[in-house]
Amino acid sequence: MTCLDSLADANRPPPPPPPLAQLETDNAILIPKARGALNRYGHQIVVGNLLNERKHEVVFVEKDSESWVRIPEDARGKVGLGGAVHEIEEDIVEKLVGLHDSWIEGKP
Amino acid sequence: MRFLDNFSAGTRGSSSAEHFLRTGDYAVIFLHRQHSLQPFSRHYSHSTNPFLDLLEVVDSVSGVPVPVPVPVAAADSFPEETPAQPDGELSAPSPSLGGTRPLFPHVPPVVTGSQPPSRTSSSQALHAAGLIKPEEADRHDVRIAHRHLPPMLSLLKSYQLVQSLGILHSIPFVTVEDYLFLLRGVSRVMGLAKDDKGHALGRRGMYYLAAAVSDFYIPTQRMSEHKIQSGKGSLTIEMDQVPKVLQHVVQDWSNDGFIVSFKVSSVR
Repeated sequence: MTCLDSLADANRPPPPPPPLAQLETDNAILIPKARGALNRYGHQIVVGNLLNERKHEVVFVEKDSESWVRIPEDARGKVGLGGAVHEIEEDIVEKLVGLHDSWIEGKP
Repeated sequence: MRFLDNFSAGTRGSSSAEHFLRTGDYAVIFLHRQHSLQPFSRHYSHSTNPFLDLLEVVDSVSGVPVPVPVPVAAADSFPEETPAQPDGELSAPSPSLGGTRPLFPHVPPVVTGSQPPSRTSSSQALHAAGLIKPEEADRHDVRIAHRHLPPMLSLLKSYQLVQSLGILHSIPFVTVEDYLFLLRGVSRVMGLAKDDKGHALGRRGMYYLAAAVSDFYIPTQRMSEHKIQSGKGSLTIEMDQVPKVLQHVVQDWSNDGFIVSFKVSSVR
């Protein structure tokens, strides 16, 4: 490895943290697990995400449906019109506020 | 070993709290791990935009930034005579101190009692430390660098608005037991809460459970009171499952609130 390689390495984001015992280790079980929690506890929604994708991708799991919210790849970390970086939490909150409004109106 | 901990900076919770507040329809009870990120101040954490990097030293009269004095040489000892800096800032070490003076003074920002820190006392301290003449300290001011001003001004106004409306209440926790205890308390209070007209909060309450709570813990009664001795070599710890309180939030405490839980998976 040349000096430049190690410099480039230093500028790369750090490697993802190692899997933890309490985290699910397989993407394929995220949605079934989320649905299991909904059935067990009887609440309204589970927001699921992959540890390494959590800043630009989440899935909303409801009893009978699921929907993904993603920040497009070319928009990640970019400064938007208002001068701020778009955060996925803004999308999460917007989606949940809509669902919450329905909940308040008494829809199941 | 003193502590077993879950890692989480609190990004999701602090960012979400801010966006809920922005809607204008929500007040937020921010139940958070002590020292994790907070709404608003999260934009200036110790690692993101550390505050010292936002500031500059300016001439207190002209407002012109004062250039940072360039170290003359990275020598083991200071030379007897150093060329004077153009404007005499933090200039040459004086021979009278024997050439062993520190590179910069140690002046922790001490705020005593209710007295606001005064210019005089800080310049006196600097003078006492022997590195800055009082008249130099008086000539300088600290200012937020221009390029950082617009976002900080906007953020500060948002923060102060939220404070004055009283729509953000922060509650810190440390251990998982603290968290469970406080979650129960907050859920019960929200479950019983009524507005001015006597209408229950009920379905209008949202429970946004984004905290990264450990699945396992050691109950207090099994906790070692003193440091565990290392003489035996390896250590085996048995942990209990953290009680699942979500069903109580749903069924017993929240009075039909809208409940959002989070699940994380580690790698694809």
